[in-house]
Amino acid sequence: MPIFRLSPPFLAGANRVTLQMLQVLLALIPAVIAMTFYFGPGVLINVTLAVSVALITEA
Amino acid sequence: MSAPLGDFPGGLKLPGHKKRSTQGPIRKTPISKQLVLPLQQHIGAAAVPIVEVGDKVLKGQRIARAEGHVSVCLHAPSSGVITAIGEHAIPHPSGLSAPCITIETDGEDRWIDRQQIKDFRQHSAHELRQIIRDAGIVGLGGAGFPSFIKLNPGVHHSVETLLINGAECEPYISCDDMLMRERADGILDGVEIMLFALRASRCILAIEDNKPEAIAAMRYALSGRSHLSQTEIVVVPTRYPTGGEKQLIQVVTNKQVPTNKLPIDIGIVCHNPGTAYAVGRAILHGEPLISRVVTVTGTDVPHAGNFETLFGTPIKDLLVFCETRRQPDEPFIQGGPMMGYSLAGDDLPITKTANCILVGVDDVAPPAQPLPCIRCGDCADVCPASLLPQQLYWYSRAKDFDKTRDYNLFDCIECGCCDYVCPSKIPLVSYFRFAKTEIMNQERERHKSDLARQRHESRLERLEREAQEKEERQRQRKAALAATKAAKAKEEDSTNTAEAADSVTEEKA
Ligand code: SF4
Ligand code: SF4
Repeated sequence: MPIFRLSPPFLAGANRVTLQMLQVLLALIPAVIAMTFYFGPGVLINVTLAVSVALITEA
Repeated sequence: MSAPLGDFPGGLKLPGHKKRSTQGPIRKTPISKQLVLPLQQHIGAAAVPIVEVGDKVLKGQRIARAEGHVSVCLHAPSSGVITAIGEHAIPHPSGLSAPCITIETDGEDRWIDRQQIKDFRQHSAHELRQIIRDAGIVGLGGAGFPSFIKLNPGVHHSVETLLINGAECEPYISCDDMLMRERADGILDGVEIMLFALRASRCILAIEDNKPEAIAAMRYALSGRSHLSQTEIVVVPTRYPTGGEKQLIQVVTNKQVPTNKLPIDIGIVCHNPGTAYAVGRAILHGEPLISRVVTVTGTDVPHAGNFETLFGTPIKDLLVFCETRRQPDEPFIQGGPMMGYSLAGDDLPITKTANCILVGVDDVAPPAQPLPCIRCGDCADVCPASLLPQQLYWYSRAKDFDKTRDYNLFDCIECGCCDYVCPSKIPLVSYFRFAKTEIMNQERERHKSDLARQRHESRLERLEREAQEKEERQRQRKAALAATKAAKAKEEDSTNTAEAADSVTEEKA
C-alpha cells in the first residue's frame, strides 16, 4: 500500500543532492589536473588537507 | 500551412503511462443505486436546489438553478427520487463536507423531453450561451469554470482564435485522448457552435504527438466538413506541461499571455475537447451535462480504461466496477500525478471536474524529509513560467509576501516541475500554495478593514454633520426666540411710552 506525500506532485524525480555533488566533483577534476600541471604537486597536498578537514568536521 | 511552432521555457519529459488505459473503448459505468450531487461542482457560486426531498425526477431534469452570474445549473443524471438535501463528503483535499442532493435511482433511466436544436445558426449567440448555461456545462479539463462565460467575447474583446486543448500532457490521464478517438464528430459539432458563439475566425485543435490515433480520428472527421476550413489540427511535441493554457498558447501561436492578463486579452479562448463535446450534445441533442469520461488507471487497476460515468456515482462503485486491487482505506489520487490531489475515503461522488482516478503510481514519491536548498537552480531551469522557484521558496518560507509578489508568485501555475526535479525534495508547490492563500486572505482582510474604516469614517462624518446641524438649528431657534423677544419688548415699550404719554396728556388735562 503506497503512502503518498501530502501534496502533489506524487511522482518522484531522480535528482538527488548526492548526484548534484558528484557532478560538482567531476567538474573539479580538470581544474585539479591543470593546477598540478602549472603549480606542481603541492596543490595535491592542499587538496588532500582541505578534503580531510572537511570530512572530519562534517562527520 | 501553419506558422512554425513556438516554445515555452523549461518543462519535463515524463513517462506517459497512457497505454495502460487506452487499450479498450470507452465503457459505460452502470447506474449506481445512489447518486450524490454536490451543489458546487464549478468555480463560482453554488447552485440553489429547486427540488424537495421526496420529489420524483427524470434523467436530465434540472434540480438546482444557477445563482448569480458565475454559476451553472445542476441536473439529475438518472431518473429516481430525491432522498436527501444536505451535507455530504465531497472529493476535496480538505476532506470537508458540502451541501449535496442525493438521488435514489429507479433504474429506469427515463429522460425528460429533450429540446433539440437542428440549426443552431437560427439562434442568437446569446440564446446559445443561455442554453449552454442551463445545461450546466463547465470546463471539463479540471478547473470547472462555467463555459458560457468563456463563450462570450464581450464588448471589449474580439476573439480571433478558438484553441481546443487536446494536449492532455499529464501522465496516466487519457480521457480526452479516447474522446477524440471515438467521438471526433461530436467534438467538431461543439467546435462549430463555439466558433459561432465567439464569432471567432479560426480554430486550432492542438494535440500532443503521443496520440497518433486521436490525431488521425480528428483529421478524418475534419475532412468530412468542408465548411470548417478555418479549423486546423496542430500536432505539438509531448512535453509536460504543454497542456497548460498559457504554455499551449505559447507553443501554438508564439504569443505570450502577459502577467495578470487572460488569453482573451490577446484574442484567444481556450476550451477542452470534452467541453466542446458537451456543448454539441447540449445544443443539438438537448442533453444537459450529466456524465463525463473518467480515466481509471494506475498500478493497482489491472483493467484500466476510460469510463463514461454519471455525475454523483460513488467513486467506490466505479472502483468496484473496474475491479481494482485497492485495499480498503488505501488513498488514491483524483486528477493526475503532478497536479491532482490524494483522497482518503471512497464514499465520494464523481463530479464534473473528475478527469482521472489514479490508484497506485509507478514511481511514487515517498514522504521525505526535505534537505536544505543547495541553490542548484535546477528548479528555475524547468519552470515553464520562467520563475525563480528557489527565491519564491525562500520568501514564502520567510513569509515575506511582498517579495514573493515581486517575483511574480501569481504566475506560478502549480505544475510541480520544480518540485519534481528538486534534489533536496523540497515541497516547493506546497509553499507556493500556502503563500498564495495567505496573500489572498490578507487581501480580503485588507478589503474588509478598508470597508470598516470607510464605514467608521463616514459614521464620524455623519455624527459631526448632525451635531453641526443641531447646533445650527439651536442657534436659529435661539435667534428666532431672541428676535420675537425683542419684538415683544419693543411692542411693550411702545405701548408703555404710549401709555405714559397718555397719562401725561391726561395729567395735563
Ligand atoms: S532545485 Fe531545490 S535545491 Fe535546487 S535551487 Fe531549487 S529549491 Fe534549491
Ligand atoms: S510549480 Fe510554479 S514555480 Fe514550480 S515550475 Fe511550475 S510554474 Fe514554476
